Amino acid sequence: MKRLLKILAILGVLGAGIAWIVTAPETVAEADLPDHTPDPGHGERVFLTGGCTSCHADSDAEGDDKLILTGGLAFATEFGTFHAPNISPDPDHGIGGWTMAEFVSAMKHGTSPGGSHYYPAFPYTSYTRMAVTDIMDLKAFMDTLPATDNIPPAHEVGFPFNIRRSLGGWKLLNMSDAWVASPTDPKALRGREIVEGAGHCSECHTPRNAIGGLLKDHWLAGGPNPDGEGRIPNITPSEDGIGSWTEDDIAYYLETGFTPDFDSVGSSMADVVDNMSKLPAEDREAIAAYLKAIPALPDSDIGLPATN
Amino acid sequence: MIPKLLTALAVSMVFLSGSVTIVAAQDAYTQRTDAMKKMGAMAKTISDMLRGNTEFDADAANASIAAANAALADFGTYFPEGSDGGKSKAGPAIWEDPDGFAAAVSKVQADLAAAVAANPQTPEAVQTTFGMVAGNCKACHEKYQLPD
Repeated sequence: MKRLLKILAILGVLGAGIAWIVTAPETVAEADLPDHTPDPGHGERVFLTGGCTSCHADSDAEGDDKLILTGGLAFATEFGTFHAPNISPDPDHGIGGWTMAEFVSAMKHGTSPGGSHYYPAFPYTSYTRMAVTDIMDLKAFMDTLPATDNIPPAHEVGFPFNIRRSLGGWKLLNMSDAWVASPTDPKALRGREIVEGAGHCSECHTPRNAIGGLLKDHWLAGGPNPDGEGRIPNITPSEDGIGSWTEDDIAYYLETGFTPDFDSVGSSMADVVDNMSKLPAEDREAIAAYLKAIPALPDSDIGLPATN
Repeated sequence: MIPKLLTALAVSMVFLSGSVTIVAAQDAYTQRTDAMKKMGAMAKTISDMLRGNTEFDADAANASIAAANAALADFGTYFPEGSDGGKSKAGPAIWEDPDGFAAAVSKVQADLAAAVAANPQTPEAVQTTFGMVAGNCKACHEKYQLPD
């Protein structure tokens, strides 16, 4: 009996030790960064692809004021309310004091400069697939934007996710830098970089499991609207989705906001189209090629209230 | 007897007013989607011309603008309380921010009236006029329309 207890105690300590190790936040060291001179011009393209302003600018900002990444937008979720942080180049209240490696660690691994886990309201689950050079270019562009000393409210999160370390377990279950779809056409592959990476389309267009991880079996098949009422549409090439749209239709929509039957883009997608319209045409065409190449799925009703 | 009758009367009145509300909501839904379809038809007519899918036709462009202008004349009245839900993509902000919504409706109506008055005749002029009107679509849908 005593022996059994001893073994159990040892196992318990081992288990806790393993749990501590696997939940440790990952980082990137300065020495591991590729030999790359950051290009702010290309960084702007990455910035538009990511649509950083949609969450980090003041929601009432118009025009150039959208480039002030002041933070503050609240995300009310079933896990708590998250507030987008100030990511302007202010050294004290924004991210102006960050090194390149700290920025890359945040984007690729969701790890803060202080070495703790970020909440996945920040869609690093997509950004983890981005090329490190793109992330470096993005920082170079963001460094050119106006600074602000705004301090957004703190997150309001309940147990167990108020213990940041627990997010290590969450990441283990729900985060992977592997590509989801496997198109073969080069144009669709370029589209995959945008859609699955910086564009983070799946974060709204894919439903989530009970702890908020994306359900990859329902990739881009639509989900509940994170901003409240309604649903986010299925954008797979099925009858429920956008199977009737041609690649040209998709690219035209991303440029102008007009669907093939000339409804106009609405809701949070309007900002996305604003950004996409400023990208080179080849990027919109690449997204279109990808969206036609992925598996066609029926509407997902996961996480949605029953319809009548 | 009389109390029973009164109760029945009251109950049927409740039902009646309920169905009146439903009918009004359905009418409003049809009215506003029909109006928006006229806007869509204008956008399609003009954008097909400007993209070279169809031949440029100033008369057809202006006719589509005039039809949209007429269709939106009473647009602000097509959103009675309780006409959301179901198939409707009308967002809660329409009723939470009635002044903002009224301003957005007035703006598109004014821009449509200006487009009719402009009576554009060249592709460039049609593009400019259309651009002025089309800016309203995204701006209004962003705030007041649900995603799907």
